[in-house]
Amino acid sequence: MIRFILKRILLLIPVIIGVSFIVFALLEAAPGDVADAIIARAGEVTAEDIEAIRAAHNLDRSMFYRYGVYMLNLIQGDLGISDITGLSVWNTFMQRLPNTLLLSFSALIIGMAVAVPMGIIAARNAGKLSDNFASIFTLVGMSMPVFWIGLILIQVFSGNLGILPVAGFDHGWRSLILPAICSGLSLTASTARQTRSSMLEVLKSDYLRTARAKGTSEDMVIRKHALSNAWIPIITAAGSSLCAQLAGSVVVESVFAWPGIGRLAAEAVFARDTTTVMGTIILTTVLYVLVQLLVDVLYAFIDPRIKSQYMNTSKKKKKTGMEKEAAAA
Amino acid sequence: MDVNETACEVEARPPNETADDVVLDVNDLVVHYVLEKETVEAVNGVSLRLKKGETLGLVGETGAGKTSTALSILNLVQTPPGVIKNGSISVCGQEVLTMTAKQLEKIRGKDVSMIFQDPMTSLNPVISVGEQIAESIRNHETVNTAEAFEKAGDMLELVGIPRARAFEYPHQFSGGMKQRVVIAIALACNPKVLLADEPTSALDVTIQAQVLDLMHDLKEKMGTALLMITHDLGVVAKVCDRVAIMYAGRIVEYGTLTDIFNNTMHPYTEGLFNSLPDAKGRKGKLIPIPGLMPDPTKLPSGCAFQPRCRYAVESCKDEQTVREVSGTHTLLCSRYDDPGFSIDMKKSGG
Amino acid sequence: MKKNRKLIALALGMVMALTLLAACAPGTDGPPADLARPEDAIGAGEEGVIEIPTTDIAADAQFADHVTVIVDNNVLSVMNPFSPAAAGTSTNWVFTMVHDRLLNLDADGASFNPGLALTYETTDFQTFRLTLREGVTFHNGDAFTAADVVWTITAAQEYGLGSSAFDQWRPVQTVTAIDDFTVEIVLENVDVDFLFAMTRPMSGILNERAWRAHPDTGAHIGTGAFIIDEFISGDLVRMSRNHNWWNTDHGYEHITENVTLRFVPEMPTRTVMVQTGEAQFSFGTPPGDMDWFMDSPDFQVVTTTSNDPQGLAFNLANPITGDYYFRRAVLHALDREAIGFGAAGPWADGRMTDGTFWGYTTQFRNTNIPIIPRDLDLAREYLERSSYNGEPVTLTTAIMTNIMASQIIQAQLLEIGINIVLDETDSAGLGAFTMYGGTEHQMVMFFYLMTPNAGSVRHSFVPGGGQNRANFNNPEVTALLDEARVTVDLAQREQLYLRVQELVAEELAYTSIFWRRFGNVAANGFGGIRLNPDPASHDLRGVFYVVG
Repeated sequence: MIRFILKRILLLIPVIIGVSFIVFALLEAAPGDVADAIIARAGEVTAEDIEAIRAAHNLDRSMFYRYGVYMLNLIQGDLGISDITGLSVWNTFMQRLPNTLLLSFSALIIGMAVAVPMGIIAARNAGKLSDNFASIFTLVGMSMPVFWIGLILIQVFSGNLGILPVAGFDHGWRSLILPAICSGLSLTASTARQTRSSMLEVLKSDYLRTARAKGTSEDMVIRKHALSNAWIPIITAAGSSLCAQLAGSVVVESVFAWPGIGRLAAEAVFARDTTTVMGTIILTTVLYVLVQLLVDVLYAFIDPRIKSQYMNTSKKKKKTGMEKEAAAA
Repeated sequence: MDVNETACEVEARPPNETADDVVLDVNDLVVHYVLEKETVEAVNGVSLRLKKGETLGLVGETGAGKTSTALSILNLVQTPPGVIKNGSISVCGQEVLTMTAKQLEKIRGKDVSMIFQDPMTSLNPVISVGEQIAESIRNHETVNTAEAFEKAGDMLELVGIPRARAFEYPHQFSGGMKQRVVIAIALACNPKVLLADEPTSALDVTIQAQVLDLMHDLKEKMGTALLMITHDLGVVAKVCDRVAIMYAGRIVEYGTLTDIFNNTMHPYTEGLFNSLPDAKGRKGKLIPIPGLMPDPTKLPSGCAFQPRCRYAVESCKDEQTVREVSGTHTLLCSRYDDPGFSIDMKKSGG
Repeated sequence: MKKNRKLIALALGMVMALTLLAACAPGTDGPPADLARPEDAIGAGEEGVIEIPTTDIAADAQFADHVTVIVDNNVLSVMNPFSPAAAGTSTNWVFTMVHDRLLNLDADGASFNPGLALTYETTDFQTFRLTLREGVTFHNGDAFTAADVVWTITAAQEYGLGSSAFDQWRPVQTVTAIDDFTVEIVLENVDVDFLFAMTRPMSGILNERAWRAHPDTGAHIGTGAFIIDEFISGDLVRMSRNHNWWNTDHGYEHITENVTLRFVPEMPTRTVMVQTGEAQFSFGTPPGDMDWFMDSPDFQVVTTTSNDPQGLAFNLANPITGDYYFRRAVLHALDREAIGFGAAGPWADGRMTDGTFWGYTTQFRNTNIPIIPRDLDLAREYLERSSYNGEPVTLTTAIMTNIMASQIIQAQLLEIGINIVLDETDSAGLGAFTMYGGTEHQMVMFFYLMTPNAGSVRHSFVPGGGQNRANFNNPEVTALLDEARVTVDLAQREQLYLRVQELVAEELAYTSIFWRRFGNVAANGFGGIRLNPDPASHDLRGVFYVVG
């Protein structure tokens, strides 16, 4: 198991190299670079000024040279200092990270607390009224734009009812409620849907009949026997939702003026702040991979078949996530 | 109850028994599955009675209503779409069909338990086998977790699995081993009635024999009444005291092992024997029953077997009544109204 | 099953309808025609500094000790005037609050008041001798001396190009501390704009010790009216009043104890925050919500009209747009009022009265330059004389208002047969794409930063200028601008700038399309803010909020 985890963490290295190169290349392709951004803010420049500033940022060298320099610093743990703000990228990111973690995990907790019971109820009453209500909820939750939901929440709970603060995080946990609900809604909807379909699948299983036949109460049949088998797709869905949240939801963060990672990255892109964009995306990638790893480790705790697979990873070729899911299903 | 007054039903109860011995009494059971567009008439008036220590074979093709009958006994027919339209089921004197959920939980696994058909899917893949057995014990006995697990180990040993494997998960077991676990679960609380739904059909022939032997031994040891559901007459011959032949939700012929095997009366039973490649003591060549089981949503009138029956006449489409052949042997076939009627098997001196 | 689907559809419809109803903020349902009436708002039609409120404050009024001001599309990204990101306008508001400049610009935009320097002496506008104020302390307790001035200027110059502060201190050749409270600054050349440069928000004096100790936050330490308590880059800055501020004669009637500037990217969020009282003032309120605020007795609407012209530039280095007749044809085809209204409704003022390309409060504006009138016949005639033969012409633009304006320009030019292709990008992309001698771009619709100081126009008209999107390179204009910079005599300088405007107008390289008005909303009782036509110079040091 530890071998498996270590292996996955080592896999981060190629992932980071790949992601950073793609991001670097994309920034390269975007009109305007750091020098342009700096010059645009300068009043008046001569041709020599421009050359000097380009040279100072290695913009007269090839992209690969600059990428190499960046990676060399990265290996030494240096994410650099933004050319635009002059702030340490690590510090800027770390200033925002707690906000994003707080929001993401609140959304996850709210989402799971609502989605799993809702999905179970819907699956157990498939085709009945409560299932229809759950379907409507998931449909609405998944198809309504987050932006729209956010504004409605603000208008209703802050504007009309006046019970919750609109934006920012000056009011402690009360400030967290609306953004968490807003970002949790789509998570709730997709997880509820996943729970429902996963439970429907499991509810047909013979082993539930076996459990009932030995006198296990219906409650235990659902909670112990059915749910334990339905978890894999549910946490897969919840895990990817969480990853999306962690990467930062620019929309939610903008609507609720929540200073998270998503807005940091977006604003850095607009400012052509290459260093900050790179640093933010690399750190987000690390977070992303760690969450996926956590999900994979959870699989092992949920399903002994997957656990035994992990134990064998040293011998066999690493299985992809899809294969694992297939094995679980 | 007067046998002759009951239409559409074979009285599958031997006379001369005391009420105390009866552990299972199914009476005129009707189970339908009501779907959106049609109704599947799965069980259409089945009555069974099982004494302590007795083994009854319930034989029929797939879709004859055997499993529905067994599930009804546990009141485990999935609702919807299943509806138990009529009948009464009493297990050890308690009426099952009117029980509350709590009462049902009490008898399931304790008074009556079931061995399911497919060991591959009958075990929960994410719960250790020991725990799956222990759960049954905890459900019915006041024991703590450790004691229950200890007992689960005993049960595993009883079915021939080392107790150390209690911590393992179903995917670590072979098919035959899983079936042993399923049996261990079913037997964990010494049920008075054991319903075994094709316990060997998913297994290799060599393992089949082992499992059957095991069940037989256990039955002997524990005095359990066994309802053996199978489509395999070979299995029936090996373990059953009495046999009920089921077709399209009805019992068409009922009798002791000898009655059925040596004094076959019903054309369908004959068809079953003829389609058997290695039926014990039979030399007839292999003749499949022509046609298919009738669509359970559109059962033919009268005898359900009549469209496939080579002896069928116009009167077979009328309602059928139970005919008593001997004290132990009953039959559902109106062709015997004609005193000269006899099936071919008899003619060829079988 | 079918019935269920119908049920779902019905319920969905109801949910949508309900949410629509719920989302109808008070006042957003008016027809577009009377979306807002900026002319009714405070400050409408006024030029120069606007201060609210206009009503008197009761003698026994109670003041809130915390005021929140919402900042719109300018990210509060860094509180360091040396960094390139400090060019953002809202960042400059914080600098004004936190740092003190050597000199302050008077409200008239032309005369200079004492700041950290009590007096300045110069005879030639090349050597400046400043006498500094004594007894001033930085937020970290350090005493302010001449050494701080020397260090700030030297450090900004070391920071180099791109630094906002560097731009201001760039002309400085040497800076010397004569004694603890006297500084001599010698410029490389005579520069009449240097006094103005010393008043800019990014020209505040910083503390070396703090800077060295905390590279990220050292620049937060100044001598100003407010102390930065918390700064989250890109989000907010919390400040508390500096009780040791040297300026006891500041002219602000009330100063709030705590002021928070918060960047809120979404307009509707800003609206609700003001409505619910989470903020007392918001920049950039959506025009659609203005009606409600104006009708409400609890709020006041304040407009400011930006000094920056929103205008069209033709790339003179491009064969098509370099053609004078083509440019003339385009200008004759434009209906500025329609473009302005289409782009921002009543929140854009397209009523141009003259043809100069100049900030409306910028010094020496030449109001005698005739505007090229809309005349489609003339437009077609000029187009006929041009080398244009129907090929697509790119119009590069960014920012919502200008994108909408560009779409109308596109439609108007189609009337005379000019085929415009829109190239929408973001500000950084536009800047990069249209800068320093590029020949690829053709027409650009954007805004041009101009301060009240005439020197600020150079950036649009000299080669290498940061905003010279036309590749404007007229040696005569450059020479005039260079001369103006060293001309001490005000009247002479005026003549030079008036001439510059004539020459620029003749070339038709730039044209103003409209002035942009910003609608800002304040809760009743909020006041003390000084809004300037030059957005970077808004002064929030005196903000207050009357609660009872």
